[in-house]
Amino acid sequence: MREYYLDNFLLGLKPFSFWHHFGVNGKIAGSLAAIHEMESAVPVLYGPRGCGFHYRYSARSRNTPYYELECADIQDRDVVFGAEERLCALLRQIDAEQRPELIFVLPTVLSDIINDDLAGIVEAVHPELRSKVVAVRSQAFSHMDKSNTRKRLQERAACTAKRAGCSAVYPGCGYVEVMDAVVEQLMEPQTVEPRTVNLESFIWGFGGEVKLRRMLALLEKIGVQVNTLLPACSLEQMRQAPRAQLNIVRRRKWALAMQQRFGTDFLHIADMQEWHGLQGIKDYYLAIAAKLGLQERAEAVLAAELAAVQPQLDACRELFAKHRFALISGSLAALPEQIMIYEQDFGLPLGSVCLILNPSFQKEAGVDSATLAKMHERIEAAMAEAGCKAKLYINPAGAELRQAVQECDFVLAGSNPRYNNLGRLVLPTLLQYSAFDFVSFAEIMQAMARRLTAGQGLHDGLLLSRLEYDAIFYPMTADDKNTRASREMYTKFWRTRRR
Amino acid sequence: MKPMNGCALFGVYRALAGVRDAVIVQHSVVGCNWGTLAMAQSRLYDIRQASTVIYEDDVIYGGCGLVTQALLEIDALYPDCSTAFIISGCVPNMIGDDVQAAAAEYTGTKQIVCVSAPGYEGSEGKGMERALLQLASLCRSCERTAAPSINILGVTAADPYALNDLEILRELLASKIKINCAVQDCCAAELARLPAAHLNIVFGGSMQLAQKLQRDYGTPYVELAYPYGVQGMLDFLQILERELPVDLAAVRNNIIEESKLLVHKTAVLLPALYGLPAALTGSGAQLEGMRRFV
Repeated sequence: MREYYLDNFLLGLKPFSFWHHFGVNGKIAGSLAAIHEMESAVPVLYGPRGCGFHYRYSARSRNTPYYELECADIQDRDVVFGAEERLCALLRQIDAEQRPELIFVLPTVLSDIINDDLAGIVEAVHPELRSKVVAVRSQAFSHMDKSNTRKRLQERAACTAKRAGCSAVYPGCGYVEVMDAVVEQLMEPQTVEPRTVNLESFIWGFGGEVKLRRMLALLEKIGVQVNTLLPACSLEQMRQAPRAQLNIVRRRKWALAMQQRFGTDFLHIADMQEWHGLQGIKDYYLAIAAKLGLQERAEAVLAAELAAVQPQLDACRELFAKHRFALISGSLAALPEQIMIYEQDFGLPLGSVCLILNPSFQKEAGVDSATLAKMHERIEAAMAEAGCKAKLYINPAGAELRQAVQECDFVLAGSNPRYNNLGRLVLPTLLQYSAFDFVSFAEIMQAMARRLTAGQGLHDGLLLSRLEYDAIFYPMTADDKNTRASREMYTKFWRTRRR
Repeated sequence: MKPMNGCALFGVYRALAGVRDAVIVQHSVVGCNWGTLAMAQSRLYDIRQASTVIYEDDVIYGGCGLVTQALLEIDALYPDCSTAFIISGCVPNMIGDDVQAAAAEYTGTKQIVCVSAPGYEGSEGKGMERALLQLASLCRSCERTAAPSINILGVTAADPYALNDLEILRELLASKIKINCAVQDCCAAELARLPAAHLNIVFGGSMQLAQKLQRDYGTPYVELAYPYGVQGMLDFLQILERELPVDLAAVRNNIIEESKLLVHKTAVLLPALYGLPAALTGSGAQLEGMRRFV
């Protein structure tokens, strides 16, 4: 759990979640996230210095600024005449001084408008350089539109199967643009090695490194060899990526490109929440095993792995069963899975389930009434399947919320301090740490058990508990008119915009 | 190059973000708003900025309609803001959006100031100078204050400890010199009364504004290093005494006496810092003062 806590703390110090009320970062953040995973790669931002400066700080490079980022520093004259010479000079300098395996040239909105032929410039200068230079093609202007996230919500609501999957491919996601370029420009045809996989190394959430290590260990036990972690690898490993029989991916588009170019099959983990929990973990490895003809061996390994942690799980369940819990959630999409995991896997009896929804959710998320109704139905279905006897509250406030909580012994909620004053200790949900092995899952349960036993949670004595925070938009208070207004501006200018 | 500072748009934003009753509307792509939020970290409880979120359709058909829409929205959404700054970034300047024309059609209650700030036009410092110079358009002719007073120019709300330092300076000078307007933390009414001060203190980039205020209103200015440390503050106070009819001897003596106690408490440790090579990084307003202090 140590890595999870460290990630949660260090990334929480950057107020990105809060900033998402007012906007999103440009797609370049995603591009840099992909490149930063690579062993020896330098990104060159083909734009003005402000883009370079801000992305050095704000790009998701785990806990540190992206120090290695280079910028072409496009200026007034370059907008008119193009900046080919400036770019070539920079590429030569990076190649001579830093000698990276890879240099990625990233477009910006400015270069998209002046339409400099980045691919052509790179091709012309390439023979002079030792580094392999990749010109990333812009698939959308500035940042992704909303159609993919909306499609995903609709598919998930409409799906009656356990996992909806996702048909959205996120063109214009900066991460996808880089990965597409890797597939198109770096990978080469290979002889396929049976029972090998490429595992996408990114977007597995907090505690990702430990998570991946344990995933690799379990795959090895099942008889699956990992060809490479993409994109956290060398140039040579990227070239040889098509050796793998299967790709395990979080982003579908580049996997489709690899399938089209090299025939590589893939398993898409669209939504980690859908695979959370003991059954989800089992299904994950069985899905991989099914594609590689290792089902029997996988069944045996998974049974042994689960048996190994069963005593810890049982001990936690025994403790949880003595109490009742009020679950407070702000996520209409994730609540069904939360209910299933707590009731079935944790053995944690829910007495109240409180859904606190943004009153403008339907408008802002662009969901129609039918989809909204299905999302609500999924909650009821999950409660029925899990045998959950909790009372379901929709947007309880004031006395009703207090009553819902007071009927229970503990509260499971996020970090909005307004729940600290309801007369019950608040335990963190910990569900944002999605586990892909049984040991990790047992650790999550044990972490909760320890907090419960020690009485360690959020309470009304905390400094933050002294203020009346908004139910939905923490850390806004009722008095924060300007901050709310700034959020509303983003809603008007993007969230509820046509696409 | 590995950029150590931002572009002209960032500089404009930094210069204007200290105006407490103003909203900043960035007519640009959404990433610029995100990037400048990093500079709002001293005021996360009071976010007064928004983006028109220029997207691909706007590049083709023009984005002036977004400016018009923004101006319609801000009256209702920001009733406490007297002023709106419309900052136009790279894209609208490339495609030729006439932001001034769109702003000219505004019939609401706020004063609107348009600042063109395409990032490719220059450094953050250049943007800051441009924005600060435009603040002069908010000035109104007025009588000098009866008591000696100063304006503080060149510090921004994003500079480390800028707001804390201002509070301490106000306390320090309270009985002798009034701070008429400090651009890092002011309101539009105070900006209008910039010409009322007896002296402009220039820390870092705001020379153009200071020169304009001297030309238009006869206000003298001095360019100073940020008053870090005991000697830095004593030098600062000495210059104020030179330029204004005030006697700050009591303030200076108090600092000297207090500093003796402080130094005595740290005397064991201070020599360990002597001669230590150090790299300094800081804002344009603060760096020289920091260097002198170190």
